[in-house]
Amino acid sequence: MIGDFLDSLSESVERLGDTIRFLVRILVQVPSAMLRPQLIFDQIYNAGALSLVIIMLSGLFVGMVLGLQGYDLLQRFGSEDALGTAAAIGLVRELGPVVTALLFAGRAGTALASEIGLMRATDQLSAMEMMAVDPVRRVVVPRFLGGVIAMPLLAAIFSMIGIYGAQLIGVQVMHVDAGSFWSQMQASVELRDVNEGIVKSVVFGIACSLIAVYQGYYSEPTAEGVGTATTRTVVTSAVMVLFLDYLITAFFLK
Amino acid sequence: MRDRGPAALGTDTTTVNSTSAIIDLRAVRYSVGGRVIFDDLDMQILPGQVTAVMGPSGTGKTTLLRLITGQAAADAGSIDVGGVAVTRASRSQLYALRQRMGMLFQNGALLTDISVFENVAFPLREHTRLPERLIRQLVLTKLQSVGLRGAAALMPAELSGGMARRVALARAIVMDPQILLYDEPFVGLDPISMGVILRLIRRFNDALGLTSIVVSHDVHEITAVADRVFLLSGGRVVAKGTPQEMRDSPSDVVKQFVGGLADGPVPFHYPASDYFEELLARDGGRYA
Amino acid sequence: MRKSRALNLGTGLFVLLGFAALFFLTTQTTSHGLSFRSEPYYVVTAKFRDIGDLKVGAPVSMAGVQVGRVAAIGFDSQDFKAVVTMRIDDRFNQIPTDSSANIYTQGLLGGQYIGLSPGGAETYLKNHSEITFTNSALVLEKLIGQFLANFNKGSNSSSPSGGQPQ
Repeated sequence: MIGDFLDSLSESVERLGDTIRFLVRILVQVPSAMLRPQLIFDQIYNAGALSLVIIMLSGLFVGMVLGLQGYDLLQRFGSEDALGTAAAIGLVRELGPVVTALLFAGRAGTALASEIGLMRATDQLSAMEMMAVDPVRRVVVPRFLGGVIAMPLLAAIFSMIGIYGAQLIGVQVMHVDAGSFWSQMQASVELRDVNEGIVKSVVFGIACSLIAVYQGYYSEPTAEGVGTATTRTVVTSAVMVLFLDYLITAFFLK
Repeated sequence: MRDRGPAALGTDTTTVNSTSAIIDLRAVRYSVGGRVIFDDLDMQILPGQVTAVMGPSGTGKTTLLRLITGQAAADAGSIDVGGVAVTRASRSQLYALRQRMGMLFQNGALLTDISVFENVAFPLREHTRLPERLIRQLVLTKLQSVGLRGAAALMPAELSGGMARRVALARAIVMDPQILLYDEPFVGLDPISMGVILRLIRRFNDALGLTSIVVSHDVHEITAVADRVFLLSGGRVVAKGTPQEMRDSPSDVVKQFVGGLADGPVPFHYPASDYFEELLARDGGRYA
Repeated sequence: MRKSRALNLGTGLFVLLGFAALFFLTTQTTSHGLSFRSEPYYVVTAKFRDIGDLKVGAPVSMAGVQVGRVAAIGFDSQDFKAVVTMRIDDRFNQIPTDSSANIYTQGLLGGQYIGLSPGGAETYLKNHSEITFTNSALVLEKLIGQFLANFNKGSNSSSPSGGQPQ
């Protein structure tokens, strides 16, 4: 029992090391991949533009929930006017990056992993190697970069829509004063808060994109292997996002 | 079929002089996860010929191609391809070598997200800076030679298995390689498509002055087109010669393979304990 | 090629929207922002003995209507007072010169803001004029301290100086 646990632990550490090595391999190829910007644009479209609807809808609902819950909590202290602050800080620092990253892993990450996995299973990656084309440079790096660029933008859009969602509930339904909703927010949200959110979304973007391309690239070349790769992408990404979220939060609050 | 040129005439069963071989494998050993695939494998392939590599499933025929292209690394022995020592080559040397080679994968391995035209143009776009007009011309010429110029605008998903393989063949020759490798090119094809591929193998080999290696277990198809045949079994070459020599061979292994016999040196049964004993054993705990 | 152009357009729109959102977050949710509605304004100053935790960007209001914003907070080392610079909207250009400025708190835990109470003068505040009548922020700790001190002395005592407990 304990032996099994230790085995799986050492396997996880091994996998982590392997993933980091893959990251290095990707980073080395980034400059030469930059020479083909069209490939990266295509992937920003796949990872970003195609996730836009789900991100905006989720942002709106999360913001509206914050509006309801925040109002209910704050009115107990007679501080409904702080609703804007509460919603903005909650979204910008925490919910925006984290929820976006989880959705990103589910929507774009699985698509990446299964796409690359399928290319592995149908020998497309081997065919590229045979044509003297490095599949890491041609397939993996543009997808990785597309994800890394798209993720912070998605998180920002999520937070912005979320704040309007909270405003919608707070001001239109709960009749918090619109002026103090915004002015309180502007008075107490600092640039540091926004920075924390941006740092988080960039780090999550790197982690989720890396996990997705890694799982796809090293998937078993079978239909089952592709399925396993997508499942692992979601699970590993979710755990990593929450773990990194704690680290970054602790760092910023220090 | 027409005369196969001077290189073909020089073929015989005696050991080939290593200096004339374009692909030269010596004492190659390769194993995966403790399972030995090749042990002391020797193989010399002559330029300008169609060489068939045959053998039962699971003898590592595809692995052989991966060793030749450097996609897999041998444990021991030397592999020399066109003057490059694959076993000791750096990554960039390997990539340079692969630009002189073409390979047809089992299912074609076309890139599914781009059209037929772009698939064939792919190596040109990656390795050359030719003007668009020239690329177009080259790609259409190659597609014409496999009879699929009309399918240039289709996506790979819209092609039949045989057509996909022909497109892949056009892609494999678009960089004018010296060596062309075929991995099981006949699997799952109808007789007409199979005949088309067979004819293309022969025609490209002779017209483009290629060296072709065809890995297959379709005995009749491949012996119709090959100049020389290697039969692999148990991790080594068990027989080699012209197709006619193979048919006349007295060897049991060759007879079993060429004749398609169920049992022989390659056993029908996977190694197991005695059947009678196992039936007598009280519980089937071994499978639990 | 048409397909790839549509795709690039989509990518471009997405990236623009993303950067717009980033811009929104950095400028509109924080006080760092240039306000989009940058209407004409004029500047007045006021000196306070204590501004509590009034912040740049806090609203300035009259009778509950926001008329401007705190633009800057400085310190006058001559008389040890805080100098608060306010931007008042040009629309509200008839504020009497003898108006007073008070620092209030929004709710119990809310932020602080400046409330202007109109005086009776016939002249109005102009650009760079100073509001001389000010009341400092209500600082809870001080208030409690004074309350306890007075409580110990007895029931009859003077009201706490500095601010009106309102």
